[in-house]
Amino acid sequence: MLVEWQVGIDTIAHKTTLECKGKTIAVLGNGFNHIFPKENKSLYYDIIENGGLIISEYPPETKAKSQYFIARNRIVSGISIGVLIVEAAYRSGTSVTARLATEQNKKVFVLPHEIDDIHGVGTNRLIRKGAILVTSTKEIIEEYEFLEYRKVQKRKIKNTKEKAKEKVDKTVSKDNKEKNNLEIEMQKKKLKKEISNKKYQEIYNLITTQVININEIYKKTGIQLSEINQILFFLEIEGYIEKIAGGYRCILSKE
Amino acid sequence: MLSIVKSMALNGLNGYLISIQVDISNGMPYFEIVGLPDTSVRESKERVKTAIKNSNIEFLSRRIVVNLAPANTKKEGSSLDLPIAIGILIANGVIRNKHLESFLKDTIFIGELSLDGTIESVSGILPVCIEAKKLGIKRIILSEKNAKEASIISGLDILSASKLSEVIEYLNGKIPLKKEKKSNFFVDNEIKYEFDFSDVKGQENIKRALEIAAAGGHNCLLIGSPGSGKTMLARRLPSILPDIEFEESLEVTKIHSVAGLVTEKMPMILKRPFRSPHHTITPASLIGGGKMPKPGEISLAHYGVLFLDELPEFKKSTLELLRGPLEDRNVTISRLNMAITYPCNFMFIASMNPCPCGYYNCKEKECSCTQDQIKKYINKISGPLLDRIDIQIEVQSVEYQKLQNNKKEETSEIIRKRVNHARKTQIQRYEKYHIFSNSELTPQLIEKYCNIDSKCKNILELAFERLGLSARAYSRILKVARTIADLDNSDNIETSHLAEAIQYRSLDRKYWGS
Repeated sequence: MLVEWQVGIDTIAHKTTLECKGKTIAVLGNGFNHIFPKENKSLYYDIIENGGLIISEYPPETKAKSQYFIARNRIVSGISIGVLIVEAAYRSGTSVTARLATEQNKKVFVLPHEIDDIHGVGTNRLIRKGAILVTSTKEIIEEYEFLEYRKVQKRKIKNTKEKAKEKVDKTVSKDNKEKNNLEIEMQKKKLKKEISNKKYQEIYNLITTQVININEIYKKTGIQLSEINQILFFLEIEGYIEKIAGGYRCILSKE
Repeated sequence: MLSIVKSMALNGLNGYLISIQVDISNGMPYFEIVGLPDTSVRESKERVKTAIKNSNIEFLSRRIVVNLAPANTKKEGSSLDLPIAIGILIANGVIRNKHLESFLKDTIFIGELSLDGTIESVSGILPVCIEAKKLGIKRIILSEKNAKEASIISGLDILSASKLSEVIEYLNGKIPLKKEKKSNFFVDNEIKYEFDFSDVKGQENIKRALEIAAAGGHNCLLIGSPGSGKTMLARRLPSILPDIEFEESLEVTKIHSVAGLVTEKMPMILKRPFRSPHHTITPASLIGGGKMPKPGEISLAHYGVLFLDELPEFKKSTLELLRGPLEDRNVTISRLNMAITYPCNFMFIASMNPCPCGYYNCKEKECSCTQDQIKKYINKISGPLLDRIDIQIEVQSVEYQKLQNNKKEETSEIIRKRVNHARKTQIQRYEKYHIFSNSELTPQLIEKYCNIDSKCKNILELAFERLGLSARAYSRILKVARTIADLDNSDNIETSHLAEAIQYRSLDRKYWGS
């Protein structure tokens, strides 16, 4: 995994790779002694500790400049075997990377977008020009004969989720804990059963990859709001849909 | 000759007795008021002098000393004009009556004088009357314009006059004064609300959230882009708040009376107050302050709603002041001369945009903010303050087509009925603990009354695990779930209630600005 070093999708890519015990290479648009952006400081060290690599073509004291970032994109594409473009607006830096990659004879993979999505103008244009359209990781790996598809387990990291869990655990006495775990399993099964219920289906069918607001669901189905809330919640913890700012959308791959 | 007349002044929300001692003796013409009067009391010299002269009574040029006892408490306001004038007139013999002495013992005078001798209204009459009744005072003589407000309290003779001359003649036994009957504002008045929820098209989920907030007294934060209707929705909240009880109304009226916010026509506050101060508000006007501390917006919102529109625009230092009062439900304002405690048991409603430009996650317009800016914006609201907000919900703008839709929306009255019912259940349940709503539950009480069975516990655990909720949401979710159960007429918290409560924790989710 090789990613440029910036906030947003780049950071997420680095973090997820680390969580999956992968190794990443980060290419900086500045010198080593200036960590930019500052909030990624811990990530910087995590990458090294996990056997990753951080590359920069600039002297250690160089400060970040916007033109450096565009320039370092040529290194990113140069040392990769292929580039995946997730989002690219019209004439964005990402489009530049894609152009460089083609010039360097690298494969360019692109996620398709809706026609009217402004984040997708660049990516859709790339597809038209002949970039490889992909909808899952499998499709990328299949492009390379020497790669093999296998699932990776996410490593557990201690975070607020677990702290919250501990708090809930406190309310349950210790003797019950094992029994409790069994019960959770039962509960999960029950949930699955419940989800096959008709109303669940009705609501689930409404949710696509486009964000949908709860009021729209209410308007279209006429089911009581409290019930919709409950159904959405169960669908969400079962991992069928996800809540993002603005509403709900379904999770794409169910592999 | 010496005369002693009684009056009352206010210390915060409580009245205290003042005895006005006037002595007139021979000597060089002199008129002085002692006993820590502030400027407005000192100026009453001129008003009293002129008012007496214009009531066709000669103001004798002699040595007049007025003492306001207790002499070590600062007195302010113009309400002592009338008793000072009466004291002077008794001392110089204009008012003469056999029974005067026993009459004055259980009478208080209160009112401002204008130069022509008219008695004007003053603020803070209701708390004065409540205290007077406690002290065993039998009658109160005041301005006509204050009579209605005073008549809320039974057991006092409310005698009202419009002119100083009327009071003089009454005390001389020549004419009777108008006696105000006890009024029954609380029963007689039908309450009308300016705005109704039926005006709002769509936004069902926000209406539902506000219904829950109103039923349980939960603090609520609305997040949405400009024009999505946050303010419109919040302004309609008063129309679905549970009906105010008489005792509550009395306390609210007291605070408004002290702040001089009751009108002559409608001297009793019959609706739960809704205060929405502008974001330029100073700390002193928000929590109360001044040399003689006056109630601030949070106290004026007592038993009602404090609505802060555009929350991040408020100064951070001002917002942080809310932390204590939100927890204690009263606020103590300490000044050099005194420390006064005002109650402030209010529901906190706030609205904000999701980012500086306002269009983060908006369907119609693209957001032009960077992730950094969004994070900074959200972080303007400190964690401790967010901790005190039970319900956080996103408001999405309604599409034009939906606005055109003529479908009848639910009226506030119907929603209010459900809210009233749920609130009654809560009041009954918590009778022993002197709390009125689920939002006031302490950790011990949560354990007792928000008990959930193992099935719910598992669901909650799953939710924390899968949705990445923050730990501090735990008790908030239980409280809100309790209210949803109350609205549902259910004795126990069911999984559905819990599931819905979790949906009202938008900001706990990891997606925001990350």
